[in-house]
Amino acid sequence: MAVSNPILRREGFPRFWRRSSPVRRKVLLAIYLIVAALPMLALLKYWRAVDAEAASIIILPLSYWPTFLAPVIAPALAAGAIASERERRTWDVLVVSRLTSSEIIWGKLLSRLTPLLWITIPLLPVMVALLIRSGGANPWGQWATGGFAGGSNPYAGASTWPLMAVGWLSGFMVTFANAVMALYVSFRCSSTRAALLTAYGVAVGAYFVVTMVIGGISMAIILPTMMGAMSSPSSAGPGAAPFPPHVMTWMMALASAPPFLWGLLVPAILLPIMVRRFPQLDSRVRAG
Amino acid sequence: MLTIDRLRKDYKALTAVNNLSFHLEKGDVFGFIGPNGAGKTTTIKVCATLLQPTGGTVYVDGLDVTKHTDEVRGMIGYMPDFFGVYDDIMVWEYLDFFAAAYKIERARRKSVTDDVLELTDLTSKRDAYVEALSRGMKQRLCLAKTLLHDPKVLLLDEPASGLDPRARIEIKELLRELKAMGKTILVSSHILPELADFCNKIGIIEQGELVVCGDVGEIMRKVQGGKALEIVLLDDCDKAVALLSELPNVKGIQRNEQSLRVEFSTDEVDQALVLQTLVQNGLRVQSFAEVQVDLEDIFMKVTRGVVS
Repeated sequence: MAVSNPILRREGFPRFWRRSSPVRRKVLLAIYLIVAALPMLALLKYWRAVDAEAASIIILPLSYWPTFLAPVIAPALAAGAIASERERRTWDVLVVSRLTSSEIIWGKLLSRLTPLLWITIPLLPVMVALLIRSGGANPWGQWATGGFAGGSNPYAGASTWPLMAVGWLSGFMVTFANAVMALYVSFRCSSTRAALLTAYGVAVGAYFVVTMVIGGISMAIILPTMMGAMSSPSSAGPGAAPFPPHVMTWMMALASAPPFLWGLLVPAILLPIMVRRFPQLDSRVRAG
Repeated sequence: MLTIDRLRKDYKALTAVNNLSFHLEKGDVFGFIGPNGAGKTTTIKVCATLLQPTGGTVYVDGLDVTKHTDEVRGMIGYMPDFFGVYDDIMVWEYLDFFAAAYKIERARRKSVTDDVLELTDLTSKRDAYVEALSRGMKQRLCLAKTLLHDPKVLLLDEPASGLDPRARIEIKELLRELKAMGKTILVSSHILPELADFCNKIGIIEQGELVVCGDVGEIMRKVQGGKALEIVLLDDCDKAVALLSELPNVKGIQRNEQSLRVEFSTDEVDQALVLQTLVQNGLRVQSFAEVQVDLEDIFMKVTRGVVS
């Protein structure tokens, strides 16, 4: 399938891909999919050796990819998208071409996110398979309640698919939002270094502010429930869940609110600004 | 084809361009001359839709550059004074990228790329990496990129800047070819002699204002106010100065060792009378020729030498 955006075609694919013939590209794609499928194939082979608890433990570090690592890496990838063009003095000739502002912005954004995509594609089926193997257990629940149950998972069997999906979705949304924010910063900065520092400053500062404000409100609501549940021994006996699964789901959903808000608001605000005001965002004095 | 009407561009406390107006017809080659900081690049960038004007309007083929940006970009070819290239990309890839950026159909891209490579004499460098090209070749490559979509108007900001003499001549030849193809060209430069060869119109800008603008020949006649003769004598020049001062219509005589520059106030010059006067009075004339006023002379006469 041909990619029509020339920026995405040039920056989103490595050199050996761009210079390959269509046949060679199909071969390269097949090799990638085979290599990407190896973890899944290994999992299917040793399926019986992976019990629910082991699956839950493996999911936890893998979950760091969409929920933590990808969002942290995204600004580094996107911060130099426009600033580096200015440093290289290739920005003006790109702007003067017939590419629309949307094409330039989306081309830059998606090309910077493609490395994350190549890593996520093989991870997702593995995580889904492990989730199935773990009986849909909530790894956060496992981690939070392990101490109570002496290592056993009181939520085994409970359906936490929506919660897991919410966690991953919010992670990917935050990743996208961080990339959009870094691209906007790149518009306003004249060097990649300045854009990188500003993007991380904004990401850390604003994200923590949003998290602390919304998180603070959430905890103000959740904490009394948790404290009440912990102080009252469960009538079902030791090893039982400290509070019902639906309460746990509700608490985790509230904890996911800040990243969701960040993931929704940042692109919704910044993308239209960039498309509408491009290239007037570039307002530095040009001597002549 | 290109009309600039009372253009103004302000940057906070600085007015880069003030009340600039001129008009170019199809096929004109306009030399845009001015010192550093005069407003040339700002003017070109407004025409190229890179900057929003503070006041006034710019029309390319009747279209306002601020209101019909996409259409205007399809009609203009812009070559900046300083430009970079992408790393790790071959010449044909570089042109293919910009051909796609200018929405040239995929089926035509190869032939268009080959055509501009041939025009700019870069066919042999088709598979070379762009960053490995010499400065002159990069300049030609940028010009090739500018010509991909066959623009009607070319905006060239110091196209020969930083080039060695041979490369400069090559660029000039290329521009002559483009002129012969009927392109309307606005070219800015500090190096005035290279502009004089192929521009039919010039505009001199200083501190954001157009000091003089129009046909090259007319401006030269207007600024010079007549003709001048350069005479080199083997004998005493004082006697020659005294004799020539008494001739009618002699506006001024400048002496430089054994040579005299004699300026006349009218176009009609009795050059024979001058030569006859000198010879009849026993003065030996080594050389006797009409002075060709060049753009540098015009520039020095009309500008005050103020740099922004």
